[in-house]
Order: sequence, then C-alpha cells, then structure tokens
Amino acid sequence: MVRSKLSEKLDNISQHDLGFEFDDAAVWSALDQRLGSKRAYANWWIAAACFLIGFTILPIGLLKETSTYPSMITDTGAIINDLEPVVIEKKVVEIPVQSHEKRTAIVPNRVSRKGVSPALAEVASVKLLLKPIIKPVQNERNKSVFSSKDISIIQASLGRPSIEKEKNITVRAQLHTSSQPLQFNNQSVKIKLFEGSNN
Amino acid sequence: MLHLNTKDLIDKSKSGDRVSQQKLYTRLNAPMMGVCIRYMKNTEDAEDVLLEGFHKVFKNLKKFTYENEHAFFGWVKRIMINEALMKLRKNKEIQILAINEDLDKEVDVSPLEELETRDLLKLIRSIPVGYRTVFNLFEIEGYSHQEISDKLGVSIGTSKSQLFKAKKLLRDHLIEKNQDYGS
Repeated sequence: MVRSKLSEKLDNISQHDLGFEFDDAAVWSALDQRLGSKRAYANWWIAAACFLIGFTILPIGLLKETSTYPSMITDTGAIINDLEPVVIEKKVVEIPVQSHEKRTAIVPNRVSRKGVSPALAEVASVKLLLKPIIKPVQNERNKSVFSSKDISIIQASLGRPSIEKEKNITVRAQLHTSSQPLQFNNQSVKIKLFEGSNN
Repeated sequence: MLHLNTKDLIDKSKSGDRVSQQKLYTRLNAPMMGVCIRYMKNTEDAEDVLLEGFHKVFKNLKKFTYENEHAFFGWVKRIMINEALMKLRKNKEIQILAINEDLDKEVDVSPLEELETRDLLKLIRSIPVGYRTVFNLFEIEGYSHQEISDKLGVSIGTSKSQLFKAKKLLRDHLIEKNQDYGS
C-alpha cells in the first residue's frame, strides 16, 4: 500500500475535523465492558474448573490417605464349622515374607465387637499387619483379596498350614482407617485357602 | 497521529492494563473514527465498527510485534477497514453497478488534496457507499484493483469502473462547491 497525500491528511484528522460529535466515552465504556466481561467470563470458568477439580480430586486423595493397608484379624472362631478354633493369645506371629512388609502386633484388648457374634467376640485375636500386593476392596465380598503369601500367613497364624483344598474361610479383615495402630474398620472378607499354599 | 510512549502503552495494553488500553484508545479514536465514517453510511454504524475494531485490536494485540508507530497505526487502520467492509457486506450496502463509460478517461482529483480535512471528509461522504468504498481503498488506502477485487469479491473491471464514477462524482461536487463559494 502506498500512502497518498489524501491518506496523510485523513490519518491526522482530529475529533473537530470529523464534522460531527461522537461520544467516544460511550464507545470506550462499551469496549471496557466487553473487554471486562470476557475476563469475568474466563475467571468464572477458571473458578468452576477449580471447584470441580477440588470436588473430584481431593476426596480421592483423602481416601488414599485413610485406607493405607489392611490388617488381618484371623479370628479363630470365624473359621469354618468343622475346624476347631485355635486360640492364639498374645502371641507374636513372626513369619518371614519376601515381598511383603510384614508387621506384627498383638491386640492387647478385644477387637471391636461390632458385627461379631458373642461367641466370636470372646475369642482373642491375633492381628497381622500386612501390606498386601492386592489391595482389598471395601465391602466387596466373596472375593479373594489376599495373595497366596498372605494366605499362607493366615494359615500359619491359625496353626494350620494346610487347610482343606479350596475351602472357603471367612476371616475378618481390618482396614486401617488412620495412622493410629489400633483403629480399624472390621470387615468380613471371604477368602479361599488352598492346600499347601505356603509358598 | 501517535505521540510519546506508544510502545509502553502497547506493552502494558498487551498485559491487559485497562488504563493503558484507554490511553491508546483515546489517542486513536479520532483518526479511526475518521476511517470508519469514510466507509459507513452514518455515525451509528461507524461507532459500531469502531467498537468492534478496537475490540479486535485489544484482543489481537499480543500477536502484534511492535516495530514503529506508523506500522502500529497501519495495523489498527487495517483492522478498522476490514471491520467496515464486513459490516457493509453484512448490511448489503455495497451496491456495485456496472457502468458503461469510457474508463480510460482520466479524472483528475488532485484538487481534493487542497481541501481542508473536514471538507475532504465531507465530500467523500457525499458520494454513494459503493463508489466511495472503492475510492477509499484505491486512492486513500493505496490498495490495487486486484486487491480490491479480492476484498470485495468483484472483478477488476468493476473496481475500475466504480473508481472512475467515484472520481467523476467527487470532481462534480467539487466544482459545485467552488461555484457556491464563487457566487
């Protein structure tokens, strides 16, 4: 584009030379509003996105913090009918496990009685604190949630290294709900024990 | 045109500083209104174009690389012209009529350069929108007929004929004006 003399003259036009009054303040006001509304609109979306992320991500994070790893209560009274209850009182279970970080603890008092029959409630408990390979799913029953190594530990804790083949056994698994060692959520988990599966 | 600290104003406007944006607008609104009113039929439409144009300017300012004031002014002006043409197309106000006249005849409009800015603008605004669009684009903005034909979606011949008619009308109006002054 070549700049002509006419162009030069018109480019330097003043408001007076326009020959009419135009409300430049009103135009700016409308412009300001449009520029501002875009920003407000963007801010609103950012706030909404943050709100949504907060409501979806944070509860997951909190859940991960509270349910860290399960502890196992092998409640001898809960073993299937034909087995004799094995009462293990205040006995520390020391079973070497390669792929697990095993922690042993004795519950000094009775475990929570919630949801436990009076007969079972009288039975002393041994608590095995294991970090399972497979995480137990809360409230999901009839599902083996422990690895074979976990099961071998359970078997050993029961004093029965070998239980009937593929026999179902219900144990009460406990999930830690906090970092406090004695605060658990009792939960029944049905698992299958396999004969000679103490590998 | 533009004065001191234009680059600073542009830089601050880029980061969304409203005060700088307003200062930039204040500096540019009169010449840009001059551009808009040359194309549009009335002041209301010109204000609409000015608003849309400045909105686009501030929206796209981050993409603009500052070289000098003249380049910046030209960039803003092109935005305004495009907005004006868009509005004219939308309102179907560009009426391009075939003219059966001898286009090779040269119409001298150099006396226009002697006019006061105010009178020049008034004279340009006195001719029909179709003619003055081509006149503005060719004689003032410096576009070629090829560029005009691309912009307006008309043939090069039509662009030339519109320009010819525009110049003829302007010359006639100028003669009338001079006669009025003379009488």
